Amino acid sequence: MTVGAEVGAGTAVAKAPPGGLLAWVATTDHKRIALRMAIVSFGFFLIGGLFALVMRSELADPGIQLVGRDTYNQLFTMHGSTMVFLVLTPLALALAVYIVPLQVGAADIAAPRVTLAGHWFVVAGGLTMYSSFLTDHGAGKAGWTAYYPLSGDSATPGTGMDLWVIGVILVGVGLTLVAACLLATIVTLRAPGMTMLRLPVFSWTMLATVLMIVMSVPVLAVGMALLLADRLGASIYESSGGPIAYQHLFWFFGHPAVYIMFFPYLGITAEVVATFARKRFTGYRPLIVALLVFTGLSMTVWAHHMFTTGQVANKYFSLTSTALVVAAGTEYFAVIATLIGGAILLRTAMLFGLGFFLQFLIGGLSGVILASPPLDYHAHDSYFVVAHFHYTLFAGSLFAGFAAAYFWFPKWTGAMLRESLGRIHFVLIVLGTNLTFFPMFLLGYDGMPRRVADYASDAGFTGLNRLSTLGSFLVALGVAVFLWNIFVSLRHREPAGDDPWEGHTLEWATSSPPPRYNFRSLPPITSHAPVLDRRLAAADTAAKPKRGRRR
Amino acid sequence: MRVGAVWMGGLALWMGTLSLLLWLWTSDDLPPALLTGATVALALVALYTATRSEDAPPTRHLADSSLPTVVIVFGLAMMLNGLAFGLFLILIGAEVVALGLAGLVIQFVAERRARG
Repeated sequence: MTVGAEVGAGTAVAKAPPGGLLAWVATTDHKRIALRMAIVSFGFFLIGGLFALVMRSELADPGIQLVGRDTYNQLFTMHGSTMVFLVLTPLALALAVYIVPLQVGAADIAAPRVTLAGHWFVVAGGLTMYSSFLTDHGAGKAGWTAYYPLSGDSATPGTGMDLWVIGVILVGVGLTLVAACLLATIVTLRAPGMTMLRLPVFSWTMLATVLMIVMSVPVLAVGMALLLADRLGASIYESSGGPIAYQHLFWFFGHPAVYIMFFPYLGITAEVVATFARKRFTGYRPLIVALLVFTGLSMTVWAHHMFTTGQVANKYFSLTSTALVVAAGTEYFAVIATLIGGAILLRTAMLFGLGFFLQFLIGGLSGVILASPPLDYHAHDSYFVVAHFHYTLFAGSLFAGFAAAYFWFPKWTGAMLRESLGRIHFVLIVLGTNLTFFPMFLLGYDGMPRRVADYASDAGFTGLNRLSTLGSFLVALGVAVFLWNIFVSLRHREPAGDDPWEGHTLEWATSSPPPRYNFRSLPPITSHAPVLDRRLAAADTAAKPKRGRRR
Repeated sequence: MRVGAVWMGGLALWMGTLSLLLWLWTSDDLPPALLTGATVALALVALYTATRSEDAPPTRHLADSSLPTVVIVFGLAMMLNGLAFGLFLILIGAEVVALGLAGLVIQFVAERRARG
């Protein structure tokens, strides 16, 4: 079957694809947009990581050594904002913009111009947030949550905070646009035969993710627009219920955001585990049901961040938060079931995929503690919370991000990443991550508050803080090894071929990197693993004549 | 009708149930209103999907790059930044957006001509 009109492929007006700067900034090819999104996100990750190193260095000893309190406030605000708004969500969307059209057998993404616009809105938002460092009062310093009245004009005066708010609005618009394009791609551009129950797991997780984005991110944009209006003199949140209303608007986005930063990475891990276990993904249908149940529940748990305000229905939100465990458990068991009986191949991508599972489990289980109001009253606003969400977002999602890099790098570039360097990268990241974040559980349990630049020398926090700082530098070393791996692998290319891992899904049925409109032909699609089906059918056909000769 | 609509409709129904429970559980209006709003948005997306034809979309004639799109985004970003810096930036941003829109119109016309 040739792909063209049948799957809605486009034909270019321009005869030759553009090169140079124009191609860099304005391409409408979903794969090139995705790579730019990923590079930009990774750039922001490096900057956000640098902020983390400065903060950890400051906290290594009691007293103020490296940066003052005001600068520290700016650093943790921009670190959190960068990682949440500019790294983890855009990175997941970047992967999806590249992979989802390929997995559903589409020639392109729906509305490539809108996708392009979404990407540049995110970039413009990031630049706006970062330009706040150049203002008189410095960057935003009210934390990534920007709680009111701390984020109000009287508590945090200056243009820097205004720019932070504007930046978040721009990023919100961008993420929503990209999500809408992915939603339209999955719903309307699937290849013939690619039914909803044949969508690959990663595409399903992205469908759940983009639905959450479309439902929650506009609420954040509205909340931030109202905050901006308030800061410019409109007195929106100044009334008695204003601060709580702000928290509702913020967390209505903020908690689904955790799953927006989890689902895509779960999908990546599912693909990686199935491929390197050398067997079809087990528990496909239970996983999809769990995903949908989880998606619905994830929109109903936001106020567990507000238990201690005493102004939310604690019982309802505690119940829904705890109920998430059932859906999350189903997803975990589906992946574990895939491992059982598989011929497991421990390549770097698989190591990071398994790492995601174990590390995220620690984050998830500590989340059960925070979902319980009596326990949350003790842990709230302490380093316990910092440890919890870093285990989910850094130790969890970013591990899967690295798994995706090792898994799909051959598809993106046509070259393999070095396995030996990958293993060094993995070991450094595992050691560094646990050394950085595990002590934070103990610090938080012992009462060290978050968002502080200093602590008392007799509080007993020094040793654990030093361990944590040491760990953060190990993580930085691991990231440096990863960058070196990319550099070496691109400079001395080891050709990957179309399907170096014997993958299961349609992206492995085309060249590496794929052509402009993705496919020259598609295999028959009869399950969620059409490339695996084709391989098995070919093996079966090859085996038949031999059996015949024996007879 | 597209099958995706059924899945999204099912999800909207599940969220509607959770919204109803929240309305019953709390006396505060904002939390259940937010959840109901999201549910209605999802239901509308499902409804829109349901009305779309199952036929394959027609072949598109798409430019390989679209600089006007990028220009419009940066114009809008400048306008929004103007809220912090002053009216001058809002006006410059508006001009940039107008320039981008003109470019986009030219591009659409070229694509329509290519389509014949």
